[in-house]
Amino acid sequence: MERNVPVFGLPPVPSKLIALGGNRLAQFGLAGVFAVSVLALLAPVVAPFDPMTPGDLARDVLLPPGGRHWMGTDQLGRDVWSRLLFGARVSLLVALAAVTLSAAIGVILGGVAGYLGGWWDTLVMRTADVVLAVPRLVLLIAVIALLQPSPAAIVLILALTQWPAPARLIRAEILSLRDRDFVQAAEALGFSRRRILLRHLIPNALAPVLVAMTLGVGHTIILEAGLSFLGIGVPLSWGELLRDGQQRFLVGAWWLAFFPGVAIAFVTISFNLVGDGLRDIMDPRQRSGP
Amino acid sequence: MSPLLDVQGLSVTVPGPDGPRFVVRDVSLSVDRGEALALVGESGSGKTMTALALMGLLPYGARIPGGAMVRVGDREIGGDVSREMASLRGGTVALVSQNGSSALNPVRRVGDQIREVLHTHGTAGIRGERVRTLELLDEMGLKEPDRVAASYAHQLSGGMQQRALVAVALAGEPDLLIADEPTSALDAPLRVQLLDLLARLGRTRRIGLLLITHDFSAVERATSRVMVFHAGQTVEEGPTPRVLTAPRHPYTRALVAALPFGGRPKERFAVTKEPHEPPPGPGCSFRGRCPLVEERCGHDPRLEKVAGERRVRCWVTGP
Repeated sequence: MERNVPVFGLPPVPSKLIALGGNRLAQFGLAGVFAVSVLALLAPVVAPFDPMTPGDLARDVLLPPGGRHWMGTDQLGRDVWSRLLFGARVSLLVALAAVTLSAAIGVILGGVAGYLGGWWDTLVMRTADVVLAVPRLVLLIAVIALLQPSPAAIVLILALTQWPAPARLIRAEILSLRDRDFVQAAEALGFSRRRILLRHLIPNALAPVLVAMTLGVGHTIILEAGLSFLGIGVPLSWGELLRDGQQRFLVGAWWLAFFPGVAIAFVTISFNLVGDGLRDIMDPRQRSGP
Repeated sequence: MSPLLDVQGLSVTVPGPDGPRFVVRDVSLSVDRGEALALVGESGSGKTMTALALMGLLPYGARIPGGAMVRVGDREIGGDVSREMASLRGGTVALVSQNGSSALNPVRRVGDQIREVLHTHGTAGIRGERVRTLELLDEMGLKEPDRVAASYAHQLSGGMQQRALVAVALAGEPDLLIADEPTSALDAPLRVQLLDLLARLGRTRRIGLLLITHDFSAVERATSRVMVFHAGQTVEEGPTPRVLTAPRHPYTRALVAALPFGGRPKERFAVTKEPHEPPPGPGCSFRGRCPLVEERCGHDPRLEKVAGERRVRCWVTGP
């Protein structure tokens, strides 16, 4: 009877997901995300210069693209390409952390609201409405003005302003799952409500949240760039590189703003294409048989 | 020794436009270890509500009024029956529902779902959850239990799903298994196989089986006693062979006469109307449809003992 078949454990990742259903644009997006991630991970290896150490102030300042600095140098003689590579680590990490945290908060709160209903539902969803009703950038600036702006604080604040979207998605899913037979079966088997919510309902409701998370990464990179552009973001993020560039754009140093801008646009578009592809696959209304 | 499940005077109400409406009225039943009792009746006769009440799974708004007395084994359950029964779910009382494809969790492997029950109720025993999972699937007559355990519900056929569902239900080592139309999603040969499986499990594991169905061939195949429901009341009860060969209550007679088995029907017996709400006021709930209706049917008939361990609720055909 014992054979080497995985009886238990995580489901295998379907090859359809990797291939993104043959969607060319989504495959392009996935390749872009993969390439940027690898470059970010390997930044210390790939980057030709240190991103923080100023260059020779007499020779290296504001060099246009070409020669040893193929993306040019900034006002302190630092290599733009190297700064961009290390900046990718910061921007991606902040965005991924913020999106993961906001999804975790949203899934738990939305799950509780959808499953327990009643008073809990009202409390959670009206709070979500309040968060959504305040303009996000204004809220972010206000909160950062109160707190010490550290990378962890920025992640937390980004998450706390973005949880309503996944919360609404998961609540809607759970409302429709709650009356399905397998939930009644789980109740009949004597499982606790906590177990039914965490192990039975939420795994069945995650697909749209995954899509929203993928789309959210691009969105969050832009949001963080906006904060950095205003001078209250995370050091060395792409937004901050953009801000450095903006001050010197008018004196002709276009490369300082151009390359970070292209990087932000490229990553955001890549994530959005992947997200759109995932949505096409996972949308239950479009899902076909096994 | 007291029976495994003993229910006295169970009623269930649901909210209606004119206040609470009775969908189960004063039902008493008992099931012993190794015994199979069928609850039979048309849709809306209250048989599923009875089962849900016994699982503590009544839908929102439904209530159990008055003092129903429920005893499970030696445990007396009074007060809030729903809440008390909820604590027995899975471990003492388990449910097999109609449709394996929707009652199994779609995103979890069958093996994991069995293992979860073993884990929750601590019923894996010394051989461990993995081995016990495969043993249970094997006991259900599933070939290649390791492959079934590694499958998701949608990868199994309807018959396999239903067997897997029974395996999940039995993983908690229940004393009482409630099967709510477990064969309605299956075609005829699979239906017979599943009924035989349930009957065999009842015997070998000494568990009580409560089979809810509207299918008399299932009743005949898998149960020793049958209880016929009409409009939330028990109208007839007795040993399966006798009730099926010589039904007494007009409703049971109509149900049996409608069966296709045995060539020519022995008896032409039909109800006179479509199912509908029983006539208001006192009297027999079946009198609006009964071909044998008489003057005295305007008074409430009682469920009375008749010969051969049977009980019938009828003025005309009763004792």
